[in-house]
Amino acid sequence: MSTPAAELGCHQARQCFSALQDKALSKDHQLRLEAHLECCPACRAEYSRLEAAWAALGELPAPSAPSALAGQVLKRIEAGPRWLNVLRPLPRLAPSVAALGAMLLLGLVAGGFLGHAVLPGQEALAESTSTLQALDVFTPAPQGTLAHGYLQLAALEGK
Amino acid sequence: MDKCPVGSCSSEALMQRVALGDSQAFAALMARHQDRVMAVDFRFLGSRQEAEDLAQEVFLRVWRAAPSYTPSARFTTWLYAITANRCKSALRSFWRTGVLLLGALSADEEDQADLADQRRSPSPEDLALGAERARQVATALGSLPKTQRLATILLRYEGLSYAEIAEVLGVSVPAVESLLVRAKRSLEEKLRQHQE
Repeated sequence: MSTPAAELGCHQARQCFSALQDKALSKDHQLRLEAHLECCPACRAEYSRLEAAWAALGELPAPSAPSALAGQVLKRIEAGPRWLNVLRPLPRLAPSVAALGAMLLLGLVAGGFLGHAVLPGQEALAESTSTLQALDVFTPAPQGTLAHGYLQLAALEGK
Repeated sequence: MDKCPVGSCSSEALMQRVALGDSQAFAALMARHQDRVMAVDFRFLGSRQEAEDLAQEVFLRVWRAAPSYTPSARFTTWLYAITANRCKSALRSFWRTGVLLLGALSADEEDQADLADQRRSPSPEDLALGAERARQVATALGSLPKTQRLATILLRYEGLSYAEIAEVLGVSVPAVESLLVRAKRSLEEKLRQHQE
């Protein structure tokens, strides 16, 4: 005959610790889990740690609402049409939006400047033209050669 | 509709009056529930100033949504649902966070305090002086994913049942169980690390 402890493995038992703590288990399940804890020191230690952590949460106090809270809310309601409340944070965010705009402008100026520096200017274009001319040596009649002169003359005579 | 004195009216009855624009009923409703809203917000955000701002937003939302409130829903459950949604969207607002961080360029002292709050590191004023343990707990709680954190707060501090938490968060009861299992494990690990 199997004991109640044997019915529940450690992994299964640990999945139920939270529910045991919150008293959210059925009576039968609770008894099986308690029986497991009774004979499993590792799970017992694990459950104690969980209990201690849960108890520690009680050490976090929360402040009461300020007495002026209700008045502030009513003032906001009375201040105008309800949809205007959406626009309320805008004045507070204005410096941030201005900073965002300034950064965008700075980015555009810097981007333009850097783009100008990186893209080829007139000198760079002239240089690339001479490069193309240098490649002319690979054509059948490169400039400055006898063949090139002959072809130019033939063209003139043809006109 | 019979008008009961605001002090002895149920919250559900007050809400029906709020739906008709009764600001006196609304003030009574706020007085009754503001501490619990503030507590949830504070424990969720870890900052008093942020929690106050958020509590105002919650009650403004209550005022605006009052006409659509159905008395069949328990008022506190409905209020917790609004609070939970506001908490989640307070963290979700990446744009707002970004703008606040940009605002640091021109921030005065108050804004700097807001920025500190935004990072959710509780200041000594927010917590009792010398309460190192409370700070550890706040840090551990603050490190949980937002839905786990809300489930933990609603269970541990507000005393809601699994079914009520499920209703507030709009999830199933097994999902709440699963959220709490993971949240408790994570809290235990983090608090143990702090102690070591």
